[in-house]
Amino acid sequence: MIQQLINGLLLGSTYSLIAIGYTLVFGVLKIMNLAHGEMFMIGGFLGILMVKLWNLPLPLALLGATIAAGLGGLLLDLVCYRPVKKTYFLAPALSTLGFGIVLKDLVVNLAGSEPQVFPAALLMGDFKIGPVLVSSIQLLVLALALALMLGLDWLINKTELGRSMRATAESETTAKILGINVNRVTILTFVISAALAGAAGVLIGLRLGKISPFIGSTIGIKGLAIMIIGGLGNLRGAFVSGILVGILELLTSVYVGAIYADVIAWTLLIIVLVMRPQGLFGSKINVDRV
Amino acid sequence: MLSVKDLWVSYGAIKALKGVSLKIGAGEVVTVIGSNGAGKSTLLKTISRLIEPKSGTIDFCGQAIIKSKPYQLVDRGLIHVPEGRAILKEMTVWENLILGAHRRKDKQGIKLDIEMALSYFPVLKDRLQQAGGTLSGGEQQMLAIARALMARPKLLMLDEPSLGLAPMFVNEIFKIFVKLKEQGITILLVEQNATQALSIADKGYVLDLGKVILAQDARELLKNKAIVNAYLGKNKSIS
Repeated sequence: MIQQLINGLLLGSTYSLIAIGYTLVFGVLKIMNLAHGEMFMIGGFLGILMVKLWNLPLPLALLGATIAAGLGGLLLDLVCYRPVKKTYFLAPALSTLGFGIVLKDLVVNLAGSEPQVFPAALLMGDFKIGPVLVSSIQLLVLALALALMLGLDWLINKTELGRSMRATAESETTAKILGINVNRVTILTFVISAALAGAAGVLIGLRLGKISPFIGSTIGIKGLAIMIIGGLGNLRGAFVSGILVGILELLTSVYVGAIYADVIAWTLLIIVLVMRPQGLFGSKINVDRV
Repeated sequence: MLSVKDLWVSYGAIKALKGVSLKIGAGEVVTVIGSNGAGKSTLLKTISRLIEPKSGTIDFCGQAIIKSKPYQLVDRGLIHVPEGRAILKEMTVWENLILGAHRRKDKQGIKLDIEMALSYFPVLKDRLQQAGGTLSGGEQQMLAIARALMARPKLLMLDEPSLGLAPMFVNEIFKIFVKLKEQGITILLVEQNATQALSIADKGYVLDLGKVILAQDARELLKNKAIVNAYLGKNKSIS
């Protein structure tokens, strides 16, 4: 049981990273970034390729994939957000959806539709803490995911950039009269969100041992559900519900059957939407926004 | 200090400003009065570059700002306190204040200015860690002015600062304006409460349907019977 809880925690922490990226963009810019799942896929893909083709050590590959995905976020802002009319809420959602499809097709055409596999040399040893078996990879994934989330929490709540992001989230006009460069905040929001997705992609690649070009529409979209479960635009909500879904999925696959694991996020989503539409941690304010 | 010439602004087919011109000298308090829909808020929003004008020029300290970004105006000391106060309700009072100094880098100076702002508005001192949205209307207005001061304004544009406030708060806020004027801050004050605004102002502009219909010395305007009857309705004045 403890073993399963720990495995669930590990899975959940990567879900949290994806959901946080969604919720960051939604919270600050009030748009659904439907290319986010593909950013996550690109991160995982690049991470594997860097290890495979260039023999980069894992930390460098992780850093590289994070930066590359961050640059992808920059491109997303320039191509899909800035030129698009924001007064119509579907416009940026559709343009980002299109961007995601282009990314996916690019990867399929360049690298094929088969999953890319992490070299076995990377798989480090397991060790036991009491009766619980933990692999070093899992521990690494958990530590990195937690570090990234704590870092983001600090950035948002304690720094001037974080304050400008929250101010922009509350009111773009107010942010402007305070002298906040709203364009810069927008770019950084996309970059940070995509970079987190990129890192999550590498981490989940490490956990699964491989990344398929289509993972964006399975796990990536699951992140969207997790964001809504946690409450739109709520960072801590995304974090907690990511962990929650991870643990429930693991318990389900062990005690009910692996084929039911994917049902969890969506069932939870329906329950939350019916019982508590603002999400587990959402405030009334967020309901008004929706 | 500020010179607006022949400013035209429209919202779609509706013309909100039809060739407004206005001049403010350094250290002056200028008030713009007029009924609802006269274009007062539009004028301020256009000056602070929130709204794109159709045509016209705006010079601030001798330089054209018609193409500037809002944050560049904040850099140069043109600070707008919009109607409705624009307090960040989900952020703390302290965060609101510190964001007022967003464009500044001098940490020491910012610290001192927070202390100074709090000495103007002592009621905010006990509320620093409270969310802005929990403040009363009067306190929010004080926070909005304190936050504007954090940017070290040269020209402070205030849109209806007395709107919805209890008379006690209104008097207090107007006392602060007089203090700010003594410090050399130029003020552009848009007010419904025209009697009180004119009593501290040097100059008054009367705006009607997007046009300046009268520009006069504030004391002269107060004596002008027609204007007093039209815009300074008895129940709006507070003695």
